[in-house]
Amino acid sequence: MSTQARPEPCLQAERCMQAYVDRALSVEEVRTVEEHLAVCPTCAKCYSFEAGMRTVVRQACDEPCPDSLRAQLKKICADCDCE
Amino acid sequence: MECPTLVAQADRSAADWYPRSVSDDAADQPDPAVDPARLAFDEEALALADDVWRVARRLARDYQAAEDLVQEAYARAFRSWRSYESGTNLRAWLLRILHNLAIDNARKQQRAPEQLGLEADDYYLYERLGGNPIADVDVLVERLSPGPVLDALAELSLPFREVVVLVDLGDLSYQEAADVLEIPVGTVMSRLHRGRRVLKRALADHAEEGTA
Repeated sequence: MSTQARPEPCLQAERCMQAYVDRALSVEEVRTVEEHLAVCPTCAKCYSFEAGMRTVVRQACDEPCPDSLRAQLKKICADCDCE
Repeated sequence: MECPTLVAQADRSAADWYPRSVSDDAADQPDPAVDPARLAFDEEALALADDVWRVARRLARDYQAAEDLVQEAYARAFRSWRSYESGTNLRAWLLRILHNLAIDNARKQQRAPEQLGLEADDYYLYERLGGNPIADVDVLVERLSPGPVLDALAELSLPFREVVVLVDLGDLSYQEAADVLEIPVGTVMSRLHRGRRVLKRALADHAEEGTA
């Protein structure tokens, strides 16, 4: 396990990585993570990579709703006998 | 000019024929076409079509199924628009409907349960893509082209794919995703974590095949 070779601050940062990239940490937690990233280039690179992964997924899936479907949705809306 | 007259007459005769209570109820209902709250709802919901579509594309098995899913979701949303609480997150509300329909469809198809069991650490792909010593992150990300990303996402089973898609594409917070899926926040986080690990492994495999 490659995780065993890493020092504790790096392991802590790794545990917070997901929530950090998803902006789900508290202000205090963000500060702790960023303090570590400022002094650990390896973790900083890995965080960039994680964030890049999110971007890749978003870009790969960036597909607008087709016009034909949008028109169909408007029709469904107009025809709806709402409750 | 004659047609409207004929229609009006037909309506009148129909009203005479129906039991009084039915026609009275219908008359009491505000016309949805002029209800400002309904108009605002329609406008806001339709403006979210891109977001709903992107999520549906990743949940449904193919393009046609995604179209059907979105149409079904919007039909349900328009029918039950009064149950939407104005001022809350409409995207989350729509995605919840979409999720429920996707789950129903998945049950009908009786998909096999997910085989996970992967415990590679979070640096897995990074390391396999040549991250040690530190490589250029932008170059690594560039190597992850859209096709393999979409394939890898499609390979994820629905419970894991849904969480990744709702958070990454639907822009929902962990709590909102938990509300949509009706699971605890901790489960959202663990599924997200494991789902992304599976993605990373698949992408690493692809990247290695590409360079072999």
